[in-house]
Amino acid sequence: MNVLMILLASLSTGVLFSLPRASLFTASIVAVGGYLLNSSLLGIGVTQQEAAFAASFAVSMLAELLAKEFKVPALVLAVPGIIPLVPGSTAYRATTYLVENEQSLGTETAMRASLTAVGIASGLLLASALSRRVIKPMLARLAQRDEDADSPGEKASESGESMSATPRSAEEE
Amino acid sequence: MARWTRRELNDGAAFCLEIGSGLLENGGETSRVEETIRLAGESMGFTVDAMVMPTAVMVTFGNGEVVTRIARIRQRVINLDKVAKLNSLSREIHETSIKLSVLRDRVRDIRSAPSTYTSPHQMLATATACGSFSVLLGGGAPEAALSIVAGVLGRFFLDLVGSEFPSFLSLFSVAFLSTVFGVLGHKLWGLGVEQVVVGSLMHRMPGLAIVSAVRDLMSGELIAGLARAAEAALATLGMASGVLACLAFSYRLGMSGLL
Repeated sequence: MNVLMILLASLSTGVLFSLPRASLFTASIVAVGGYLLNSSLLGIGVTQQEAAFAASFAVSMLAELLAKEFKVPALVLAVPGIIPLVPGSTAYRATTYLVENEQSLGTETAMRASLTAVGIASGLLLASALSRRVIKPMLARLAQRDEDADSPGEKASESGESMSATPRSAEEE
Repeated sequence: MARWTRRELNDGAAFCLEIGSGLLENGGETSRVEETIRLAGESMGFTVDAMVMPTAVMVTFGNGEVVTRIARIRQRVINLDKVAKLNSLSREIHETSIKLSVLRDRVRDIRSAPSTYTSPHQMLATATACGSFSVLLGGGAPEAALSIVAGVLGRFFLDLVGSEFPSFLSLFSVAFLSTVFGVLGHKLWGLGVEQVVVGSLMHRMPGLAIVSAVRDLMSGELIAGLARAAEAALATLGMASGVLACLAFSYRLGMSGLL
């Protein structure tokens, strides 16, 4: 039931952000994954901010990795996944406590809401920094190696040409 | 290095400005806009420098003979479809050589095309988003229905005022409206207020601003990142104060147990 609801919710936020039709479903799947991770972490007793951190990291990382595959900006895939993680109901509760003069409960809840927001932001930060500096160069290197592994084999059949391929791959390692 | 005529420089700069402001207008990341302009200019063979902020694009073309142009972005919408299209167009420029005039036409086509989703689609999406978020927060069918009503009315209101209101004010009013519905539902039928209010506001959370703020900061665009973060904070603050205002008001009128 919840899975269906989160799928529906992220599909419709996708429409509201005018996602490209082709990546609407992918983005929703990413969002469902993030939400399920978040709620199962909450279920085993992890605090809200830690769960939000893990889920936003997962969403953003998945988006970065899939973006290359689907040839869309990573932003497009990440946005519907982030929205369900936003601590809307915690913030609402904090507001109600403050209105009802429950100062200490109110501040505690407001603190938890803002820590959750910080968790989301730092998950995003970590994922986008990692993917920019570490994962993407690594993938590029892997792809390069695959190409190099393929090309000498092809060229070896046309004898003599393999000489030109091998020094290049050695150079790029 | 080849010398360019003033006319060529002008055309190139105009094109880059157009694709840049197209990306920015529809919610693209600042760092990506800058990179796109640079790549587009370089693949046409110019020396290019660009400076992009969330509210303006500046490009300088050529060395020696220089053309600099600025475009101010006044109105911004969120249309990630157009961002993706312009993005793949810029990749195409890099890979193949197409005539500049053809490219300009294609950028104009993308920019002026109507949104992929029509207004009824958007309304339907608003309704399903409100309903499903409300259920996710633990609401039942009545809460979901009321939150759909609140969300759809909020959307009508936003369409009505359009861009006349600053975003803080319009989000404040929408949040106030949702909370009125929540409190009324509680008063009349004993429904959960939280599910109605939060459910109908959840899809207005500034998700895009948060994501692009973080991505801009990580790619070294400090000004743009901070500006986006401020945008997100302002939107959240607007909604929070709308809810707070309505709740405080109803508390003064003797309502309690709004949790």
